[in-house]
Amino acid sequence: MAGRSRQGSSGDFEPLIVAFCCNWCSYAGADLAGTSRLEYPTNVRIIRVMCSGRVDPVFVLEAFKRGADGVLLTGCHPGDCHYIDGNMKAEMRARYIKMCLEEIGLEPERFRLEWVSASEGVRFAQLIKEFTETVRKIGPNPLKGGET
Amino acid sequence: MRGLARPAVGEMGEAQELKKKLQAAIDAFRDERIRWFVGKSRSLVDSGLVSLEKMDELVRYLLRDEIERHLIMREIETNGPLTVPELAQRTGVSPERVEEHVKVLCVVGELIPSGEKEGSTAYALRAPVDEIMKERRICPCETVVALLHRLLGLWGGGGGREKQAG
Repeated sequence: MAGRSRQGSSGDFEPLIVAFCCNWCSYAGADLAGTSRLEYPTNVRIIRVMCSGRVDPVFVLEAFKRGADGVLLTGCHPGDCHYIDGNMKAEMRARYIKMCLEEIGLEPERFRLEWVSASEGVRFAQLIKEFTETVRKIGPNPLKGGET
Repeated sequence: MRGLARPAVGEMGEAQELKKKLQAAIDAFRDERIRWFVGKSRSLVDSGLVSLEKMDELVRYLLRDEIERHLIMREIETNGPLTVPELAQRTGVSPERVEEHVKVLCVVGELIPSGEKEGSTAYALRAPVDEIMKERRICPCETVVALLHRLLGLWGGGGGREKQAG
């Protein structure tokens, strides 16, 4: 994984977050946050996917295995999916991903599914701030520094 | 927190233990059995056939089973033939559950008895885990077909898959 979470100069832990953003809404929302010059933590690494429904639970678990401290999945609001119901499929998968994390003993709060539309640049920036803080409180992924 | 039981402290590092469980979970989600369930769950709930709570319960049960089975399979793949007590100690799964999983895996022909260790039967994999997974992926029915093939000796000769492999 290209970027690793690190200890800040004050000893604070800087989490590494992988965000899967759908091309049509959330990625455009992230783009809007950028073009609006909104500030949000640099801890996030965005991966653009065509639809949140494209994200296989394996992608999320693999990210954790490779040392991500948190994984964020963002998609279009219900009813707005470019592919009709891809986000609804993602919602069901997200339930099972959380269930699976709980089963294996990794905090389910490390994974989150959120809806962000193309016009919600402010919300995207806020979400990244919030999630970074949540993960920072949970602490580093015990698998950090493992497989790359 | 709920979840699989932990192996005895000191047997493996916490990170190593978590890594094994994550790999087992990845294997479980790659598996056709879980994929089918995850794929169909929304339409099953929407159709009113199953409530969301019941579906959650089913998936949790299935996930747990599959993660434990994959833990067992990966453990045998790494260490060679192992007995039920050895598997229970290495995976942190209770011996009763390990025994149950081993029975199922033997019935579908994925595990085979391979000698004895200290009075207990040791079990080995029929093929590498990835190969077994590939076989399951062809079609979810593959396991059933392969099982019938092996048990009943369909398509003549009773050798079935073993004959083809040989």
